[in-house]
Amino acid sequence: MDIVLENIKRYPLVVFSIIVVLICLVFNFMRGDVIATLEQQESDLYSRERVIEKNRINANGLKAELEQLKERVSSIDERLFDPNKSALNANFFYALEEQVDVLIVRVNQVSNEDPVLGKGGPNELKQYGALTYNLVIEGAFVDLIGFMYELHVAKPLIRVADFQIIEGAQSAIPGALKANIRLLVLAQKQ
Amino acid sequence: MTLAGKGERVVNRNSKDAHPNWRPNFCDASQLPDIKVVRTNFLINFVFVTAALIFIYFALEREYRAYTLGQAITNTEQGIESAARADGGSLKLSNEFKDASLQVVDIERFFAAPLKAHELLVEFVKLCPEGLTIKHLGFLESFNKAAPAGSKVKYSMNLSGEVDDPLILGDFKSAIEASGLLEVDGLSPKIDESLQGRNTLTGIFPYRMSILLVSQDKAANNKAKGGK
Repeated sequence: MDIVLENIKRYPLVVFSIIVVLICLVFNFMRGDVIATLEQQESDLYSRERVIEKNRINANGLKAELEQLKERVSSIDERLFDPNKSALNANFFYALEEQVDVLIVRVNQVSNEDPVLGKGGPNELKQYGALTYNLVIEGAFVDLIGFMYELHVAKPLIRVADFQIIEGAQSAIPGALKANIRLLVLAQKQ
Repeated sequence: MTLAGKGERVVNRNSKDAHPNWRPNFCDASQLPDIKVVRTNFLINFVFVTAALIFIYFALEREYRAYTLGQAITNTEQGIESAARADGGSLKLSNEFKDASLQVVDIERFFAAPLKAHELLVEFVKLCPEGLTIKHLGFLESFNKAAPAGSKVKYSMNLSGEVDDPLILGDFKSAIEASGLLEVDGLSPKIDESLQGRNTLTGIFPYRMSILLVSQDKAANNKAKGGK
């Protein structure tokens, strides 16, 4: 014990240094991971900052584009068939007789959904529905093409899926061709 | 036996004390001054003080780094806070855009067909050579719901009619293939034609033609197999 006390008296700087080292070690133990924590926090913040910057760049002109898109979507909504108005929908096709010189023999709405656009189909519609119609029309070849063109440019969104044009079928118009057309009309989702 | 006389000390040369200290050392080494070139005290102090300074340096360096990182974090947080409102607005717009674009995607799906009926008919009639009549023309879009996932929509055409000369039917087939009319959206036509018995009264040949639109990869494979 005397030797220790003697050495302490003899080397005060050493003792002070040892105390300092011990304090540093305790300090290191308490705050050793502070840098790692701060670096992680800084890294997270930089990531967030980059995301914000990317969002800012992507949002350039987005408001104007969204307005345009909304206008288009609302214009589409106006052109949809209402599935609950069957008579009105069928009348649309009969009304085309006034524009094209064809005779519309029959308009049948098919209750089954189209396999392509329906649930599980390769082009399944999520936001809209599709109504399927089978039309039987008669007329000259040119008028049949004209009728299909009118369907294509009509206000409702219509696509001809299948057609059969047959010559020599019994017709009310002499020499006319008969066409069976299966068409799809974009409609409100049921 | 010894040669020494009485009273004389006998020195045994073999014993350890053969040469005892002739002048005893009374120095107390611990009390004597350190006369080395570099004093032991200095060395010990130097080592410990240096170690302490190194520890202090690293502790201070870490604290300084922590301080600068803290400053940077504070600045970044302030920047993020000020940009967060604008960012929230952008995200809201983006979500609205995404929702609205789903409807446009649906429109694209609805019209996803390689051919428009009226255009197809017009182009087909243009290719029809003299001496060939079409009495039946059909276009069919089909999809088998029981088909494995990833299956595509099938498109096919059927024609039938009459032709004056069998060669004209061959020319018609070649004209369809050369026109590229049915080569759309990665599809190409696979055409099969067949002549039926000649009408002995009129001398014309009834024919049938079926056209299947297959993907160009499949068509290339079929050609390669046929070529072997």
